[in-house]
Amino acid sequence: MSAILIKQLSYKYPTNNYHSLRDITLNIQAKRCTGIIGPNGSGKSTLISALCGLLPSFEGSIEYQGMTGELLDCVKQKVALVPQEYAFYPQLTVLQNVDYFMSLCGIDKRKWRLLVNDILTQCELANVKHQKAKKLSGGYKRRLNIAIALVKEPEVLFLDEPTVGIDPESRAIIINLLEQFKQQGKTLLFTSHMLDEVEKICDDIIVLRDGKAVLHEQGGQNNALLTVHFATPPVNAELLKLYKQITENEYQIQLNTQKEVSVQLQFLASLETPILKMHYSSNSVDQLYHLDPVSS
Amino acid sequence: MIFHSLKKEALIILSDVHSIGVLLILPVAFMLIMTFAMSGEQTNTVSDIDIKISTTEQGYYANAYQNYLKQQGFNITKKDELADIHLVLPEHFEDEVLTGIDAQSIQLILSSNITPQKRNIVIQLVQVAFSKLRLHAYMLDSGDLSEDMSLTEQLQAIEKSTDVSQYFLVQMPEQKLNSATLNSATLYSVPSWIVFGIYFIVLPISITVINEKQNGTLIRLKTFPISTSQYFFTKVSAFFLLSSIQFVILTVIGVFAVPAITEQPAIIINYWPSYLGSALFIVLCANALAFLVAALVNSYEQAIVLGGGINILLAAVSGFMVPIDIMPPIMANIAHYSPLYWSAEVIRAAFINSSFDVVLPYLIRLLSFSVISFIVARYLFVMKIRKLVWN
Repeated sequence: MSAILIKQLSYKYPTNNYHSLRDITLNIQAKRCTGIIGPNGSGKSTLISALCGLLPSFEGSIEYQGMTGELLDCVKQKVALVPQEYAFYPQLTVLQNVDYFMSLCGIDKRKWRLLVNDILTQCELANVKHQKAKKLSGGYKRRLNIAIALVKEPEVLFLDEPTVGIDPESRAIIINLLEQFKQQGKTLLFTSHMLDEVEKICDDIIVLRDGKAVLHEQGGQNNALLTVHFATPPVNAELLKLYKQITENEYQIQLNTQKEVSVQLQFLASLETPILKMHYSSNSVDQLYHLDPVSS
Repeated sequence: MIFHSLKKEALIILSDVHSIGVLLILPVAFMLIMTFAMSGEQTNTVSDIDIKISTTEQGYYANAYQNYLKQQGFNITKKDELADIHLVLPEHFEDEVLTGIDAQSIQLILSSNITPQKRNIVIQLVQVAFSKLRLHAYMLDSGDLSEDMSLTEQLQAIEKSTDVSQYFLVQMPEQKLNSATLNSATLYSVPSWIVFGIYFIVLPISITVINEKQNGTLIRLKTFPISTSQYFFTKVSAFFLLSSIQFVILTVIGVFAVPAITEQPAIIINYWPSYLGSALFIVLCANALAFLVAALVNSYEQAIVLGGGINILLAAVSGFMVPIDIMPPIMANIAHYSPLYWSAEVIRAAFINSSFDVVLPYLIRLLSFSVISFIVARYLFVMKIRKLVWN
C-alpha cells in the first residue's frame, strides 16, 4: 500500500538557481522503512524538506495517501520529523521537553501521562527523565530527539541520520527502536551514510545523485545480480546484447523480479555454450550506492 | 499550552545567569548607583571645588568675598596646585568695590577639573557671592550695616537680607510631568532604571528565537499542529507574564530597598492597582519592541548590537543617563518620541500621585506603539518561519 506518492518533483534554490531535486517520481510504501542514501549534496535533506512541506514552492506533486488538504496540514496531522540537530531545549529536563512538545499537540490530559510514560519507556529515557537535556550523553540526546517526534503519534516518521556521532551501544538501541516502529506499522523514511545500518533496517532504498532518484530498490523484488561463467566465449547475439561482459568468459545481468530470474534461467539452459558455474547474489546497499546509474 | 510555554521560557531564563543579570541585577545596580550619584549632586555641587583668590592687597573686602564664596559651598585654598579656580582681583579692589570696578577686570580662571556640566553653576555662584559683597559695601556705606559689628555678624545680616526664598510660594503644575519637578534622586532614578530593565527583555527573547532557529527546533515546531500565529502569541503571552513578574520585583526593590539603602526619602504609591494597571502597558510595549527586534535579527551578535544597542540609545535620549533638563532642547525633544521615556513618565506619575489625565496620553502612546510593533513583528515572524528550510 502506498503511503506517499511523489510525482515529477523538482526544486530549484531561489538564491542560486541550483537544481536540488530533478524530476523525482517515487511511490513510498506504507508501514515500511525506506532508506534514502546518496552523497552529500545529492538532495536527501531537500527531498525530506519537500515531503515535510517545508519548501516554500516546488514543481510536481506530493500526496499523502488517506489524508486530504494542504501538504503542510497533512504533515502537521500525522507526520513527524527527527532532524539531525538536537532540536529541543537543552536547559529543560527530558520530561519538561516531552511535556512542552506534547502541549502543542492538544492531547487529552488523561491520555497525556500514559503517552509520556510510554514514550520514555520505549526510548529508554525513563531513568534520565529528570536530567537536563544538555547534560545527557550523545546517545540519550538522539533518543530524546526521537521521543519528541513520537508525541505526535505519527503514522509517518522522517529521520535524518538518527545515529550519527554516537557509540555502538546507543546505535544498537536506536536501530532496535526503529525496528519497533516498523512493527507498530509506522512508515519510516530515513537518511544515513551508514550503509550497513540502512541495509539492516530498510525494506526499500532510494539512491539519490545530483538531485535525481537514480534507483528505487524495493524489497520484495529480487534485486539480484546473476554472474555466469561460460566454458568458451558465448556467441549468442541476444546474450551479448542483454548481458554485461566482465571477463572473456564471464557475463553479468541485473535481475529485478523473480519472473526475470526464471526467464533468464530458461534462456541460459537453451544456449549451446556450456556453463561452468553461475553465481546469484542479492545487491548489497553498498553495491547500490556505488552502482553506475548508466549501467543500472 | 500557555502554561507549558510559560514554564519553558521561565526555566530557560532562570537557567541563564546572563539573562537574570540583564533583567534583574543590572537595573537594580543602576538604580542604586544613579540614586547615590544624583543625591550627592543635589546636596552640594561645588563642595569639592577649591578656589584661590589672588589680590595685590589683602583687605577687608577681599576677606569678606572669601567668606561669601565659602557660604556658596566652595573651599578656599592658598595653594596654586590645589586650586580648581583662580580668582584674580584687580588693583584698588578695596576702593572700587562700591564706586565701580572696570568691566572684565576680575579674572575667573577655571581649570580643566571643572566639568562642562558644572561650569555655568560655578560662574553663577561666584557672581552671586560678588553681588552679596557689593550689597555689603553699599549697606556699610549707607549706614544700614553697623561698622561696630564683627565681620561674621555682618555676613549673617547680609545673608538674611538676601535670602528671598521666604517670599515665594512655589506651585508646580501637575500637567507638566517634567522630571525637573522631582526633587528626589530616587524619584528620578528608580522609574528610569525599572523601565531600562523591563525593556532589556529584548535580549532573552531574541536569543531564545535564535536558539530555536539554529538548533532546528523552529523547523520541528513548523511540523507540529500549531500555526505560526499561535506559536507567536503563545510566546508573547509567556514573555508578557515573565516581564510582569520582573516589573513587580523591580518595583518592590526600587520602592522599598533603594530609598532605604541610599538614605533617600521613601517612595509612596498611594494606589497600587492603578500603578500595576499602568505597568501592564509598559510591559506590553517592552515586549512589542523586543519581539520586533527578535523578528529582525538572525544571530547572537545582531541581537546584542541591535537589541542592547537600541535599549541603551533609547535610555540615553530618554534622559535616563543625563537628565533631560540639562540637555539641549533638540535632544530633550527627541525623548518625547521614545517609548522608554513614556514608560518612565507613567511610573513617575504614580510616584508623585498625579491624576489619570496626566498619565492617559502616555498610556495611549504606549498602546499604539505596542499594537503597531506587534503587527509588524508578527508579519516578520511569519515570513521568517515560512522561509525556514531544513538543510
